[in-house]
Amino acid sequence: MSLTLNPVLGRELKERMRGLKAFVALMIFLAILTLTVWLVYQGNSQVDQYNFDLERQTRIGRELFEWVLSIMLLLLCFFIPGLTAGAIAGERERETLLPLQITLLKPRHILWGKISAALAYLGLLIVASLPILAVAYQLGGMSVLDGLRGLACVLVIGVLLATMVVGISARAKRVQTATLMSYGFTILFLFGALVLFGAIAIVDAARNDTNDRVNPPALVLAANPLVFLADATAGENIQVGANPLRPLRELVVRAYGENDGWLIGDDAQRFDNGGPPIDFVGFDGDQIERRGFPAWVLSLVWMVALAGLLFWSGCRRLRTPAETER
Amino acid sequence: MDDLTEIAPEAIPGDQAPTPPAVETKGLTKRYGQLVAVNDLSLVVPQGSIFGLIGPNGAGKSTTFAMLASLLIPTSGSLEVMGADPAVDTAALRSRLGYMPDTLGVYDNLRVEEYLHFFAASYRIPKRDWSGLVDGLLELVELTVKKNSMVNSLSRGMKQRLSLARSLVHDPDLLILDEPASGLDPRARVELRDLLRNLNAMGKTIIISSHILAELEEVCSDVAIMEAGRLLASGPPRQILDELGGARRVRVRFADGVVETFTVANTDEQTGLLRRLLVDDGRDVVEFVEEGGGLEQLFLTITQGIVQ
Repeated sequence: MSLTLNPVLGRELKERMRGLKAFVALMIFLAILTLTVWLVYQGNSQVDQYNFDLERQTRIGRELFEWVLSIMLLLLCFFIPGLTAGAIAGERERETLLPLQITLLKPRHILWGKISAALAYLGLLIVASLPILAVAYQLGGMSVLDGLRGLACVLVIGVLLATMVVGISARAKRVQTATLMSYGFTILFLFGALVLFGAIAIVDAARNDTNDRVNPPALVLAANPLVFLADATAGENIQVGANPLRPLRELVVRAYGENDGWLIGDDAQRFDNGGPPIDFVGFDGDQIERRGFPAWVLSLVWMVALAGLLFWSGCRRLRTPAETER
Repeated sequence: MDDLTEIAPEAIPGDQAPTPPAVETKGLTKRYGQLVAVNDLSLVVPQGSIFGLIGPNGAGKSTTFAMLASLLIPTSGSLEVMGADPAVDTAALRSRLGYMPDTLGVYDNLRVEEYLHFFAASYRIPKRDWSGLVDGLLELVELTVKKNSMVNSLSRGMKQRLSLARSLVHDPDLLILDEPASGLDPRARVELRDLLRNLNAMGKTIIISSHILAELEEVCSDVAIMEAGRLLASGPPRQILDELGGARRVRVRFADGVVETFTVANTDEQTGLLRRLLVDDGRDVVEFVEEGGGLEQLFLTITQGIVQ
């Protein structure tokens, strides 16, 4: 088997690295992460700066780690639509799509080339941010494994979101439309599940029935990349400090506990009986035993399915010969 | 007799199997809702010809090209390109087909060489062949000096030639060129015409559309005229002129300075007139020019300016 570079990837990398956009985005990305570290550290170092306290230092380190990861994820979710929404819509707008479609490249090769280019750029952003993350490591807030796991989560979310945006781009005729659609989608992707969960909770509370077992299903929360990150990076030292991902972990535990599972009430118990026990950390640091799939697995399944669906839809849109001009 | 005996039996003219046409359509139709973009088009493009597709804007030329190039599925009718059905043998057909749409389709942030490398890779041409291939193509389209220039620094004519080089990157047998001369200056048009002749001499069948009819007349061995999705006429330009063009005027200037104008019905009559003047009448003809006429006259005669 010969390993050959996808031609679209090669071309994308050349074009992207020649432009100023990628460089500016990298600078902004690193500047904001650096600012985050500085703010978190400053916010904590004022408490008792004259006495060395190992526990406090570890807590600051953990806070730094989670803040950097969270901000990194939000920044990527902001950059990805901007950088990849024009992937196919841009080809269409520049009228370069037809010459590409008439070659021996299949739609999946074209889309995969675009996604690989996004992956390569995400890799660059993540590698460039390693020195910033090393500060948290120095303070003892994370292990190397924690760091790798966190960065892998961010990369996975980034690649899956890029896949979704490329799929959306394949359906749009203009870059402007693709960009708007992609940002709208990204907002839904990031916060849609939380908003839906909140809405169900409000409706549930409005019933004012204290004996009902119908609570917002915890599964809704799993359809969220932030929950994926929070759950997958839940390690040691997370029960202390103002960690940004902690409220999400607590929300999942609460929703799971109220329903005895990922679904609603008794049905959930049937669903979860076969799953392995998982230790989970509650609001006050108590270990709660939970049965069922970890939230991050459910989140991953959901995100992969959504990305797969949009990728397939994008491939269909680019397929030729077609009924109408693509 | 000696010469004849040296000819292999299969090479004797008239004993060869007929060459299948490069393109054959029967009742080809493409509808977009109520709009019939191409209506019952039956066309034969001979192998090795330069075939011109003529028609006003909206005549269905680009839609026809998109169907030939395996980009669009016809609503009805049959279509065979280089012996393949574009909807079924798409990959096989694309490896033998070069298509240049009516847009430039170039990547501005690449160098000329990189641009052609990209398409060579897209046609799965081995990397070891790229260098020689690109040099040859750039020489053919006279862009060798621009090999390392950025595409965005090229003029429109150069970009047009680069697009043509792109469509030739996999050495296709059939070239479909949609308005390749649009936006070119007179010199670039002449160069393009010469280039098409060269490509045809290399054995490539070329299907071309253009609004500049005089140019098509000079290079095309066969033409088809379309309007509102329908085929109005098809065949060698002279034959169509004879069949549909009506009477034409020929201006003759003699050595003694006398200029006379004659009206003839077709090419045979025109040839007969020249023979009569030279042989029968023994006159010294110094100029024998057809007035008006040509594809442009024919186009105006048989189209009605219908817009869909």
